[in-house]
Amino acid sequence: MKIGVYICDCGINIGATVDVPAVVEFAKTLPNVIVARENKYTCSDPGQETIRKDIKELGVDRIVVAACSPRMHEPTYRNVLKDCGLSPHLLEMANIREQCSWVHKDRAVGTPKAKQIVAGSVARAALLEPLEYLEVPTIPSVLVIGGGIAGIQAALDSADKGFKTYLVEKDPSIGGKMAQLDKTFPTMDCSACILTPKMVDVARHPNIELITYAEIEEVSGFIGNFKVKVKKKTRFVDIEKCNGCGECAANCRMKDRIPNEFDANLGKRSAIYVPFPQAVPLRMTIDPEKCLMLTLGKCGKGPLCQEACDRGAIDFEQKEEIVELDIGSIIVATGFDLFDAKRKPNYGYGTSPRVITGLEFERIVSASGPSGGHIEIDGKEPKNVAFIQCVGSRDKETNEYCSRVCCMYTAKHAHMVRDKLPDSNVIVYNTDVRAFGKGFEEFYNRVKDEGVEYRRRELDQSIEVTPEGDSVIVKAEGHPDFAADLVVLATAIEPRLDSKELKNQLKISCSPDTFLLEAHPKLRPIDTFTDGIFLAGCCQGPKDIPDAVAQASGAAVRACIPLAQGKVSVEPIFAAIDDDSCSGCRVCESLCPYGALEFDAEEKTMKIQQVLCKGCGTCGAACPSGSITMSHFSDSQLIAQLVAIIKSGGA
Amino acid sequence: MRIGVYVCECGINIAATVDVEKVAKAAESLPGVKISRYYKYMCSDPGQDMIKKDIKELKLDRVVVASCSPLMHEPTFRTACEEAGLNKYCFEMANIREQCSWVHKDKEKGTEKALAIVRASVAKAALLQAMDEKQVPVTKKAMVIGGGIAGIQTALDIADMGFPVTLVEREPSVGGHMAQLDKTFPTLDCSACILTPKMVDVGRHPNIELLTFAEVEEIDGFVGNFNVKVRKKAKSIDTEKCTSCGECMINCLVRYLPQPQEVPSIRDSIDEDTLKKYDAVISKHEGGALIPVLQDINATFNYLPADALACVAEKLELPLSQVFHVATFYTAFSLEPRGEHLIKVCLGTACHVRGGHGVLDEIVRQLGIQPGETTEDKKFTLETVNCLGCCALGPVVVIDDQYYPTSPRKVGALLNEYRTTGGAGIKPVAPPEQTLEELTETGGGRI
Repeated sequence: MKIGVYICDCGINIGATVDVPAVVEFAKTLPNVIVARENKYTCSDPGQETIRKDIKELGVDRIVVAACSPRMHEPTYRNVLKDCGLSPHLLEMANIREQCSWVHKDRAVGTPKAKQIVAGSVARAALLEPLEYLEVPTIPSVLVIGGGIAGIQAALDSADKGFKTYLVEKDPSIGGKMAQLDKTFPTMDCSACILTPKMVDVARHPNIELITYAEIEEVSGFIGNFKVKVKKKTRFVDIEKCNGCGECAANCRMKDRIPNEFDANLGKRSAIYVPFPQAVPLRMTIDPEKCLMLTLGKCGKGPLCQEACDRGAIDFEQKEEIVELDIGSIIVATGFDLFDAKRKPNYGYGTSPRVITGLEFERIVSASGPSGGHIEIDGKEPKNVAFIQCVGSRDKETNEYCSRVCCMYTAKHAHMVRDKLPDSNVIVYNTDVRAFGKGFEEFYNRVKDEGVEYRRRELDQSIEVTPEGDSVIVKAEGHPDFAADLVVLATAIEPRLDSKELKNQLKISCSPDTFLLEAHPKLRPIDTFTDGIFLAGCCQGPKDIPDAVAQASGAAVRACIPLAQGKVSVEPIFAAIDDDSCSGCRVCESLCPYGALEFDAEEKTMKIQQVLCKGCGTCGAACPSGSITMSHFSDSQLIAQLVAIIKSGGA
Repeated sequence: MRIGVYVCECGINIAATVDVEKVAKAAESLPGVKISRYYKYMCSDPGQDMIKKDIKELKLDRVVVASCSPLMHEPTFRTACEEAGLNKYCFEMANIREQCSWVHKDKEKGTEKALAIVRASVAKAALLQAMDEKQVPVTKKAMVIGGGIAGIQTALDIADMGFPVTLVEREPSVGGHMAQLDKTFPTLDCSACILTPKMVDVGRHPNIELLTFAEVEEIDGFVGNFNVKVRKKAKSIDTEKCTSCGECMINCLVRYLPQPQEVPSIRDSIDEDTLKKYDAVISKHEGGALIPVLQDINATFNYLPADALACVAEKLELPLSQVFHVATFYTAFSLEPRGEHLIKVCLGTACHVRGGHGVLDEIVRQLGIQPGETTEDKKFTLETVNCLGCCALGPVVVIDDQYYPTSPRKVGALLNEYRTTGGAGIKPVAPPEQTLEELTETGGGRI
């Protein structure tokens, strides 16, 4: 055992508060230490060179560098060891900068503490063992969960990088919420016109396999090597045969009798349907809760859809199917729900057809919507229109956060009313107008110039919407009452109801608002804490379309990095189980946050899957028989380090 | 010239406003047209097959499809032509959907306009020429201009994908504006602490060439083949020799020393009483590890209030995101208020064998809540645990850290007692030798 100790001045960073020569002399007295040196900058090339030279000439086989945090330069010194043919894990860093010189002012305090830290590191270094990095090949495929605009963009970018990409969407068509919008702020691009080509690109991309009307059933494995079970729900239509001609829907006995979800339930559809004409894939789906054959077992003298289909695509016997995918990286793009305005009764939603949500307004104003783009209520054009913002946002009772898009979509709606109905009076009840994006403030000013009146209210001022005869009265504290023909509520963006379930399936975390949590709010806003799983779009928090698209492109890059590298290297810091003393009590199994421990029923002992283990040590601490040890952080190493620190106190 | 014309009904999308049959018939007599047909969905397989068959059998040398926008299906039909041996640039698309049927209501006028569009497309098709697409190799190198946080991240991601990257920064160091910030909102992470490791990564990445104190002079070329000239300004320092020891700076006659700044605390926004309660708990763990603090708060307040977590982050000097990461990770922590009494039902092996599930089912039935939920009156929160270390007593439930060996029959009385007297009337069994606290201590933070 030959330990070399290298103590760094870090310019004046350490040298000013620690008497480095004294620490060097002290280190020379420690057991197993054959050389101790002072360096002005150990991380500089000359500094690294002294270590290399000592390894070669003096046969040093354990290195202690007393300098900065291992986060800073551990990789630097590990490379030095690797270059010299030593295992990188025979390096121990004594942090005498962040944990000593930077937090003390007095040399009389800093110097003895630095000595203690060095003594601890030397004691631990004596017990370090060489370790091998574990390398695991990655499967070159990406799974994107959710086929809204974020999922579409993520899938296209991943596929363009040359990786097989699976896009799983729970609805019969991709497109998501964006497909329901009429125009997009502030440029007033037609939403369908910019979205549809991307949807078609997805369908046509040779690297993309589109799995619609399907849900994630189970996710296991780890970065580069996930196994994902996907449940394909029953369409009762053979999508290989169907060409989406729509003859079946035209002949369905339930035609025009079922509210169409795509039109926010304002339009009607058949029991066999495509959600909207530009659906991708353009294939029919039977609504199992509305189809007469599937609910009553008969449909007149026989199902007319089957009769109308000359391709024999309709199959009432079809069963749901589970497919298993091998996946390298996962991108979660599951989107959002809209706040249910009935949860705040003061807005009067549900009491009158004259009170609608923003999404309902989108369908009404859309040329492809149920009224062909004519703004009508009870068959009449409204004259007085009120918009109310922050419904379910910036409200401590419901959602404390700001939904970020409502100010601008309300401005867009107000503009469209003024544009289509020039004689109308439009009043927007806002709390603050947050027009922070590119071109947003300019758009807001333009809308005000067009004659839209903004009435500001404080968040704690009351607002009531009540039906009265042929109109609804908006009573807002501090403003005169307004008798409106139409009231449009800007409802909040909320986390999806099923996001908790997904969070558990993927073993990722949520922030307090229950949106999915990024690994770091600033510098890893796309990654999750689980390696190989990434976030895109509103599942992570409210976003407008450009932000969602940008994040999706970023997620595709992040997801493809391990696939491009072809392998993931796993730090060899694992739990190890002593088979002889393990009693198979399985206490550790349920404690492991990463699912790395499995019970071997035959041998009645626990087995560890190293690539899943993060070396957190939870299992080791809980094991009643002490059968679990941690590599590189073993009890003996840590205890030796502690003992040396305590014993050298006052040295 | 042998032109084939194919008019699409697009279901009712076109056919409702355009007399497709009439358009197809009229197209037959246009100059150069060999065959003119119509079909319900030209983009479907039978529609494409029709075109391919005609190209081969009728030796068509130009194809016109009158249907939707070329954005939608031009690639589809170009592929079909190529598959039948016709150069894809000999294909022309007439948009009679977006530019005709979708914007008109009158069938007569729609038909007239569609015919005009088809006529124009046939005239153009007659003059189309076969072309070959040119392929140009791509230089597999990227340049990132600007070394702020955006440039740093871009460079790192491209480099990680295995491509060489040149990062050009005008200033002597990468870091940009973010390096000048003290803390970052709303988490109040220290800006330098999160930025510096990335800057170091850039400096150390084998695929990144860093050109600082340099400016882009000239760019020409095109995608995949840019030529860039970069001016490296004189640093008057030999970067190979300099180790940045700073001795020169100390001795320089013109010095600039930055001033430290003060920042407001999250604590200013919490009311005094609450803050006192938080501090009482947190101060017990001064300089301690995160999990025991969270356990203590969880035990004191029955859950982890969000502002308490912010205080913890500040006290322990951890990023708030990390505190939330831990808090949402372990099932023992709750971010939502829990009931007055916490019921834990053991489903460990011994309790499982002795009927633990029966006990759980009975509690679920009586309280009307599932594990993880809290009753509406906020009296009880129900949870399951995997072992309480007292297998001999099983099946066991723990209410507020008191141990009760129980059975489905006894559950009712037990819950009633807690409902009425808060458990004062029942004598719990002495906890086993190893207490819950001890288990927690050795259990790595999970109860």
